[in-house]
Amino acid sequence: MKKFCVFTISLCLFKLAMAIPEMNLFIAVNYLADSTIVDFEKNCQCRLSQTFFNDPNEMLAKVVAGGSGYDVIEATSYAVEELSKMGKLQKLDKNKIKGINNIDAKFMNPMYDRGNQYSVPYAYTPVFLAYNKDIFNKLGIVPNTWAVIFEPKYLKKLKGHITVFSSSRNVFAAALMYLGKNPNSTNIKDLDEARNLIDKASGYWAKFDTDSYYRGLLRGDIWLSMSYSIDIYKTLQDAKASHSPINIGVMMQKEGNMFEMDNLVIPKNAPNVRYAYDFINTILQPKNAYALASSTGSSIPNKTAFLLLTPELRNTEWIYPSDMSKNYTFTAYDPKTRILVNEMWTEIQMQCHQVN
Amino acid sequence: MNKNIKLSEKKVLSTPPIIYLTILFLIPTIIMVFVAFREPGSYGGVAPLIEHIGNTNKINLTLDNFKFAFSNYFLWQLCIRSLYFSVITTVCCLIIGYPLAMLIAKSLKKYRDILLLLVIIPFWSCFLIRIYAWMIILGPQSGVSHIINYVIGIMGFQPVNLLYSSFAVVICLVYINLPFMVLPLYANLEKHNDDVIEASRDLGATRLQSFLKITMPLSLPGILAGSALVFIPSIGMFVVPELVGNNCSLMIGNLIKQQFLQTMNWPLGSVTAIIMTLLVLGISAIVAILARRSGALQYANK
Amino acid sequence: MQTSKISKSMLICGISGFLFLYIPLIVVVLFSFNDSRVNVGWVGFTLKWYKVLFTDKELIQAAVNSLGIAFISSLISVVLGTLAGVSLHKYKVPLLSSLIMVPVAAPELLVGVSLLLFFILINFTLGLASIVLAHSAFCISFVAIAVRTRMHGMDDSILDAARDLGASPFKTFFLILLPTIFPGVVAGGLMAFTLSIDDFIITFFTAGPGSTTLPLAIYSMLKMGVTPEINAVSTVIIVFTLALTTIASKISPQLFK
Repeated sequence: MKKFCVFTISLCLFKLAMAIPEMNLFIAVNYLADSTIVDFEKNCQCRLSQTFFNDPNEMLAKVVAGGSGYDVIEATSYAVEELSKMGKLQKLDKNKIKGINNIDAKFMNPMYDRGNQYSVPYAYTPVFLAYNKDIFNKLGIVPNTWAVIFEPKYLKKLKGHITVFSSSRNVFAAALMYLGKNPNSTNIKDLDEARNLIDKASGYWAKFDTDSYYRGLLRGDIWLSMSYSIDIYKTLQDAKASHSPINIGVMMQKEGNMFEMDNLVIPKNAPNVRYAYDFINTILQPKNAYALASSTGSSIPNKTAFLLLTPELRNTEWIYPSDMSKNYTFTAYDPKTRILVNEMWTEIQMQCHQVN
Repeated sequence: MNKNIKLSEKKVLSTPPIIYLTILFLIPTIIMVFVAFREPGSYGGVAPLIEHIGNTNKINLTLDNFKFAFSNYFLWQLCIRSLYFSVITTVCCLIIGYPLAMLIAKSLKKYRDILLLLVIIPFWSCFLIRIYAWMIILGPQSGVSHIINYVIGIMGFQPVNLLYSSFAVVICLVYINLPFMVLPLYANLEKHNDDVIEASRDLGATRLQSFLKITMPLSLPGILAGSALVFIPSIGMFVVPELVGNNCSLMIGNLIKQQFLQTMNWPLGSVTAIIMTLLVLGISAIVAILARRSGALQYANK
Repeated sequence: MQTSKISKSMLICGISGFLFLYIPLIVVVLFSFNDSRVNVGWVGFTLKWYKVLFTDKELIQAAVNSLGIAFISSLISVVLGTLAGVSLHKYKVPLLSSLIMVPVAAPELLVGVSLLLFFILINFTLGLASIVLAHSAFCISFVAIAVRTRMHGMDDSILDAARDLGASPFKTFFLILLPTIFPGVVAGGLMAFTLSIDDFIITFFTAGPGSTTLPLAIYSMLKMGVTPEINAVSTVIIVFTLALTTIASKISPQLFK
C-alpha cells in the first residue's frame, strides 16, 4: 500500500512537472550562464529545459532524426546552413527581436546565413592547442603550429599524451590548415591528403575526446589537447581554485585557427515560438551576454556587453584575438562531400592504429 | 459452444500483446533491415525513406552499404575485437561467478536468500554507476594506479594508463555482467544432489576429480545459460569502450552508435546492427550445437 | 555439519567474488562524503555534494522523469504482460511466444536503434511518450514470463470449476485467476519498474527534447569525468535500489528463484 502511495505521488509530481509550460533548448554543454536561466524563467513564467550535445554533428543527427520539440537550438555556422537548406528552420520575424543592434556589425550578415534570415549570433569559440607548459619547456617544443599533432618528429615525443576532438570537421580543418589548404576545402584530393595525414598521426593520439580532455590536462596525464576556449577558461579557473601544480598554456597556431560561430535558431516545428523569441531577446540583453562571457569564457559578439568586461578578459588573446586574419569559420559541405568525409571519419575513428 | 468461448478468450488474451509487440518490436526490426538496403540520404539518413514515399514507382535498393561494410578492414577489426572482448568477459565471469554461485548453493538455507540478494543488489543498480566505480578505481591518480605503476616502475617498465585501455573495458564488462552469470549458475547448482558427490568421494575420487567429472558436466546448462546472458549484452555494449576505453578498444556497438548519432549514415548503421545480430545468433547456434552434440544437456536434464 | 560441504578454497574464492562485487560500490559511496573535488585521497567528511545534488534542478527533473516513465510503462506492461502470460500458459500461440521470447534475447542496442528508426519514420515526436512506448514494449516479456512461471504451479481445475459453476470468462479471470497469479503479476511489475528506471541504451536512442532521464543525466556527467556529485547521485540510487530489492524480496520471494 505504502508503495502504491509513493507511485501515486510520483505520478502526480510527474503531471505537475508537465503542467508548467516548457521552453526546450538544445545547446552545447556549459554554454549558458546560470543567472540567464533564472532571468529567463522569471520573465517568461516558464521552465527552461535544456538538452545538451557535445558535438555539432551530434546535434544535426538528432535534429535531422525528427528531433522536433525543441524551441531554440544553438547551431554552429555550418549547421545553420545545413539545417536551413533542409528546411528545418523558421525564418525569424525581425519585429519580434529586440536588441539586435547590440551585436557587432562584423558578426551580422554572415556567409552561412545571408541577411540573418534564420539565425542570431550567440557566441563564438576559438579552437586551438592547450598544453602542459612544464613538459613542453622540458621537451623544447613550441606548439604554435598544427605540426605538433601531425608531424612524427613531435609525435614521437608526445605519444599517448595527445587528444584531439571527436568531431570530424575540426580535425579535418586542422589537417587541411597544416597542409596549407583551405580548412573548408571540398576538393577530394585535399581531403584524401588530410585523411592520410590524420591516419598516420592518430596512432600517436591517446583519444578522440571533446568531452573530458581538459580534465586530463589538469591531471597531467594529457600534455597536448585540441581545445575550446570555454573549456580552457573553466580549467584554468579550476586549476587556480585547487592550487594545481600543473601549468596549462594556450597557443594559437600560425597556420590558422577555426572559430566556431554559434547562433540561435528556431526550428520549423517549435512548439512554443513565443518563448523562443523571449529567449533570444533575453540573450541579446547586454547583462546576459556579459554573464555568458564572464561565467563561461565564451567570446561574445555583443558589443555593448563587451565594453562591460574586465580589461583582462577583453585582452585575452585566445578569447578575443587582435588579429582575425588567420581565423576561419566553417562553411557547410555539399551532401556528397559530407557523406565522403563521414565515411573517412568512420574509418579513422574506428580503426586502431598502434604505433610502437 | 464451449470451444467457441475458448477461441474468443484466446483471442482476447493474446491479441493486445501481439499487436503491441508487433508494432513496437517486429515492425521496427523489419524497418531496420529495410533501411540497410537504402542509399544514405543527402541530408542524413532520412532522405531515402522520404524519397521512397514520394516516388513509389522507383524503388532504388542497393547492396552498397553491405559492400562498404564488408570491404573495409575496420569493420572486421571491430567484429573480431567485440567477439574477443565478449569471450574473455564470459570466461572471466565464469571463473569468478562459479565459486560464488557454488558458495551460495552450498551454504545453509537461511543464509542462501541473503547471499543471493547480495548478488542481485548490484545488478539492480544502474550499470553506469558500476562503470563509474571503476573509473574511480582505475583513474590515473587512484591508489591502485600508483601502486601498479610503482611496482612496474621497479621492474623497469614505462608507467601504464589503467583507465582508457582495453584492460579497463574488459574489467568493466566483467563487473557489470557478473550477476547474469551467477544467477543461472546458482539456479542450476542448487538442484544438484550432494549424495552423488559424496558417493564419488567415497569411491576414492579427489575433490578436483569429482568436480570435473560430476559437478561441472551437471552444471553445463547453467554455464551455457549464464554465458549467453553475459555474452549477448557484452557484444553490443558501446558505453563501456566510450567511457573507459581508447582508440584501440572500440567495439561494434560504437560504430552503430556513431552512424546513428554522429555521422547520420543510417544504412551503414543498420548494416552493422544486422552484422552484430548475426554474430550473436551465429555464436549462440554454435554453442547450442556443441551442447547438443556433447549430450550434456540430456544427461543434466534427468 | 552442513557447512562442511563448503571447502576452504571455495569459501575463499566465493568471498573474494563478493568483495569484487562490493568494493567498487563501497568506494563510490565512501567518496560521496569526501570533501574534495577530485576523488583521490580522503580529505574530510562532508555532506555538501548531497546539498549540490538536491539543488540541481535538471537532475531532479531527470529523476522525476525517470519515476514517471517507469511507473507508466510498468503499468502498461503489467496489463499486457499478464494477458500474454496467461495466454502463453493456456494456449499455444507461436507468434506470441516468439514475440515474447525474442526481445529478451535480442541485444538492447538493436531494439533501441530499430525503435529510433521506427519513430522517425512514422514521424512520432521523440520524448517522454516514445520512451514509455519503448520501455513498456521490452518490459512486457519480463512480466509475461513471471506470470507464466506463476501459473505453472497453479491448479488449472479451479478455473474449470468456476466456469462449470456458471461464472463468465470475465468473472473467472478477475475473481479466480487474477488473485491466484497476483504474486507473479507484482513480481513482474516490480521487475518492469526497475528495468525501466535503470534502462540506458534504449532510452538513449528514443529520448527527445525535455525527456532526460536519470541514467541519461548520469551518462552526460560521466562523459565529463569523475566528480563527487556523481558519487552522491550514485549513492542515492544504490540506497534506493537496496530498499526496493529488500521490499521486493519480502513481498514476492519467488521473483528471485
